[in-house]
Amino acid sequence: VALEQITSPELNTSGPPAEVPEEVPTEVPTEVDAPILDTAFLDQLVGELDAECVAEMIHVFLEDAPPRMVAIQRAAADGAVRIIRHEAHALAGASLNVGLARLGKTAGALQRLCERAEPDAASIEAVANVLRDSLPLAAAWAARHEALTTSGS
Amino acid sequence: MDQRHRVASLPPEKRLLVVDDERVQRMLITHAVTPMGYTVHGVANLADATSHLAHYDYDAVVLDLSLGETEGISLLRAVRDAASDPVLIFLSRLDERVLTASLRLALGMNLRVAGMLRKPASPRALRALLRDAPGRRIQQAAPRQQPPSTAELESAIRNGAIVPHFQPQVSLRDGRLVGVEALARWPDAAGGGRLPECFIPLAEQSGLIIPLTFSIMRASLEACGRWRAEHPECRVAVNISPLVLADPALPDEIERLLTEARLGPGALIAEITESTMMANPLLAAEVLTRLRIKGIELSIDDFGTGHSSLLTLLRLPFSELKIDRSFISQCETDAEAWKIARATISMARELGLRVVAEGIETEAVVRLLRGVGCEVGQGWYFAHAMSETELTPWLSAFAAVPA
Repeated sequence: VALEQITSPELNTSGPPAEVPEEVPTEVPTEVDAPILDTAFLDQLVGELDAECVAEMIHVFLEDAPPRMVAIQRAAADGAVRIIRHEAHALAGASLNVGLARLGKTAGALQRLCERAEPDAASIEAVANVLRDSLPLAAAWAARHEALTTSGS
Repeated sequence: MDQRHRVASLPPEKRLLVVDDERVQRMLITHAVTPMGYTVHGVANLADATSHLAHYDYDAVVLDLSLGETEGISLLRAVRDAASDPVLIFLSRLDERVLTASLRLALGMNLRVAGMLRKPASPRALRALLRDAPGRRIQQAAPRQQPPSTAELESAIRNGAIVPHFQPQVSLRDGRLVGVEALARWPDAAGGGRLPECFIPLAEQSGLIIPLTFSIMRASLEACGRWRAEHPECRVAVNISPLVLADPALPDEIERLLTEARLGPGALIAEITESTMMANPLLAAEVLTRLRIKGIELSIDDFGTGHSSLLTLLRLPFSELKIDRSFISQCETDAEAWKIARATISMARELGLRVVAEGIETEAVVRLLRGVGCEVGQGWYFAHAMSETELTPWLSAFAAVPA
């Protein structure tokens, strides 16, 4: 005997559904097709929040990211793949939030690699290199926008 | 100014809990919702989240689904048990399928889900989800029904207190009525009644499902005999529990009931849901095949739910397939539910089966289903289940409206 009918609330999603699953890499690529700092993304974020908030997020990122990289390198020496995956996941998420597109992609690739195999030294190095390139650009962006907000007020 | 008025006009304090192990992410959420009047608490792990949910009333919870080593999904129970009934927003970089499955799980747990945000989350999208969040569940005093005793059930079946109600089935091609499904109802004098969920399982456990099925079938066929003169096209579909299929006398018994109601075999459709209780599949197959040879149509019910499987479809001589309502009621909003419904319809048509979609609630769903060749629809969009007394005028009125 059929039961009474049920209703279902809507499923809201932001953005179109991703039809194609992400490719699982065999190593972290050294050439990534993404800008180090996506300034258009940051401009958009400033529009939705304000420059001060975004600069504050960048400062938190600058504080947190280097220790995460150290944790990744230490975990790699210990062969602790789960820790590498966790830290790479956090690093990727944080980078994308502050417009560090290339680091987001590279750390994301390291995270997915950890789901398959133990990453090699070159893969860890690739993330460290992108992070090294990212930090000064992010810091400069924050300094510039802080100068603007201070002079504007 | 009146003091009370001033107090009342202050914006109410709203609290939001963000559960994410990443500090930049928590900060982004905080900055995004503070202008909306939210006080934000951020926690980095499930233990803190659980204790916060127990200590504070939250209006909203933003939850990262991939919280480090543990999955955020295990927090759903704590969110459901929270007295403040917070609205839930998922946050993730996981693929769409995992997100959708998580949403379904949360909806299945009766949580208020506002939606999901893919990382990097846009503050604007988050604010929009919070603004358009579904309203609080109405604290309805759920009719806490005492299940009947076996003796009560037996007496109700013997006295004819359990009767069929009929839900119309309409052709999606031309809008004509094609039949009704008989649904067992146990009404009481106050206009309420016991729900089938409350007495059917007992009937199945106690073996009373056999007299109940025959009682409902007899009453349904008698009613069909009465409306058949005016509405010769209107057949009746009766649910037959797999337990009843173990009775080799069933085909002859059904034939006898048809003769008593002066109906041909074409007036009846037997709806079968396979379940683990189909103790003797070989005997069930024999009984169903004999029914089919006698000219009675067989419908596989709740198709897609796991009880009604492809193997059943292969093994038994069905002529109709009923897609389970869970696919139909979500097909407008859930792309994957729609894909499954569409593929099922296509497969059924390949197999030469008539397809009935249950649980239709909107015109838009009718159009979707018609577009992919689904023949028959059933659901609140057309009509609720009704007693024979209500059905008779409904049938006349429906027939009078040009398709």
